[in-house]
Amino acid sequence: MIRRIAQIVRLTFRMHRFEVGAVVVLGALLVVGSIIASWALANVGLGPDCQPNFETGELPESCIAEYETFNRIASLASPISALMVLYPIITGLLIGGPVIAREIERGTTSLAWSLSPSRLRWFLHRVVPMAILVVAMTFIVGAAAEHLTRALTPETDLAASFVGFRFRGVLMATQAFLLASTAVTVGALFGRAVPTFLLGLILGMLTIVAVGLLHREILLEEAVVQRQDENTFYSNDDLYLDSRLELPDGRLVTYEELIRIDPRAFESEFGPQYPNVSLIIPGDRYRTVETREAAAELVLGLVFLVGGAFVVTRRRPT
Amino acid sequence: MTAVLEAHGYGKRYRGRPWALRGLDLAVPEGSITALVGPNGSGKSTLIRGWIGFEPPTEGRLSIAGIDPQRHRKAAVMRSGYVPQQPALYRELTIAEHIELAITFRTGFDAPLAKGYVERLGIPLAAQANQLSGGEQAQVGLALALGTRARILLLDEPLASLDPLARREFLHVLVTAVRGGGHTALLSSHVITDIEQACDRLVVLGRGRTLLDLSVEDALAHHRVVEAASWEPGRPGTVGTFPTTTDERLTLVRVGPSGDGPGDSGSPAPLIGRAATLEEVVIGHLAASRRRGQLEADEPVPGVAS
Repeated sequence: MIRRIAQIVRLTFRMHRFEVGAVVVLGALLVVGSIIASWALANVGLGPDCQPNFETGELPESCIAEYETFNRIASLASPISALMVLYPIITGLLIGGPVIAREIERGTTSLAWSLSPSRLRWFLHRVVPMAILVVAMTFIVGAAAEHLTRALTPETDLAASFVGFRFRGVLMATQAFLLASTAVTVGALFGRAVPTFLLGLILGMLTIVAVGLLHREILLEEAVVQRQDENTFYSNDDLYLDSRLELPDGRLVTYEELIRIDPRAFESEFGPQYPNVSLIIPGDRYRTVETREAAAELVLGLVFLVGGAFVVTRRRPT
Repeated sequence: MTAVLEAHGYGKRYRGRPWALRGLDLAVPEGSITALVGPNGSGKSTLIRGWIGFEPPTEGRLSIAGIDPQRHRKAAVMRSGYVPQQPALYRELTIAEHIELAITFRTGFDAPLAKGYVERLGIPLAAQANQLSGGEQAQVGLALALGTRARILLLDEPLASLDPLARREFLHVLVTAVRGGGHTALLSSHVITDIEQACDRLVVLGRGRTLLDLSVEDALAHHRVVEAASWEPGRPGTVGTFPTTTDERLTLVRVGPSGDGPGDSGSPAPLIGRAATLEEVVIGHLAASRRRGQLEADEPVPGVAS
């Protein structure tokens, strides 16, 4: 059984060796790059007391050199961070796009579907190894991105902070999985690789954005109200969602709603007389929010794969 | 004799196009090698793909070993080995890996048998599919179909892109395997000389219908050709008139127990003209089919002034 599974995985990877190679090499480069950058940043030895003054922005004299070195390394590491943001998109499309579409386009489905009595089995043989590769690679790169973010913000507890939300950790893996699943289904429908890349990118990104927007609506219901004044301000660790104005009776309204209630509210040269508040999710809820969004993307990705399997069982080979 | 491939009033129409096949009734007997011949677009591939469950019928039904391939596709696939028109091999994989792939897809796939066929033809198992010639790729496709050990082989114009030697080798492997293994094969092809050597039954399709369905022996015995100039058109048994390469015009005449030609009523066929070759039989029927199509197209539509 294990031998048979290994055989299926090996043959699937052999069929898509360019895509698999590209994804693995790019992922490995990013992981190695982020480890080196994190190590270099940690070696600068920037302590928690070596931060700019909150009010003046000035640094203590003793750590100007370290701070500049830290910033120089951070700017050198910025292409790695940027590529890490793109990695789930590249991986999802590069792996998910051709896995079904190319087989239909090249006509190899005629052979495969005449040999395999079950098209579902054929679909699983093709998609499961590739999906596992996508999730594994983006999970590793996501962990490396978390490691790099920790090195760039040493004062931050990333388990309780929204710093780098959606660009580190498990969410990178689920975004890539969702994109790959979308591309698989688009490929099963259209049976052509190039249109699949384009449509898969558009549909996949729209789906990820839609998940984010829907999640934001849920989070607004759970948001904590944070007054914004000289003494209190939401922390970088919190997830800022929106701002509201607080009426004397405690109601929170948007600017547009306030104008309807009090058309003269903004006429004072001292600004509105109503306090401005922020709607935030505290940083300590990070893991819960991350897990929920990851689960949503995972489920949606699985729904797309079920759709792809349905199309494959119904369609004609070329 | 039991029929293993059957069509009952089968019709297929692709969206926005005329009927590819319509009202087709056909029965391919068990143990035969049947040639399926017809011009491009006559529905040969559609029919073959229908039997393997790739093309749902628009009307009527098909059966393969008594199974409806649309309702029981898995069972239909398990009973058939298929060689597509274009060699559909994975260009990234070696031939050995294709055999491995077949093992993962199909329980009971006979890998040693498939390897044996490939090796006997001198095709290296370590070669990648894209390094092989068209003939070698077709042979690998046939070896994979034979490796399924399916009793019914469906071959969709596998000879189309092969040179004469490759065609001969392909047919040799096919005939040996079919005769030795008790298979039934349906081979669609344009190359009539090859069919004559390999097949024992001939089905000619034209304009979406069966034009001829006979054993090769009967097809040859019951057709003769005469010079068109010496033959009165419309005489009983006339099939069709066609030109030769030397600008001569010949008429194919059906003789013997067909019910409409000379030599009916049990009397021996009169020796008119000369014996027809299989190619002339096919061309004569196709020419007649085309002529009927032209006449139908020229018929005035009732109520429309010309």
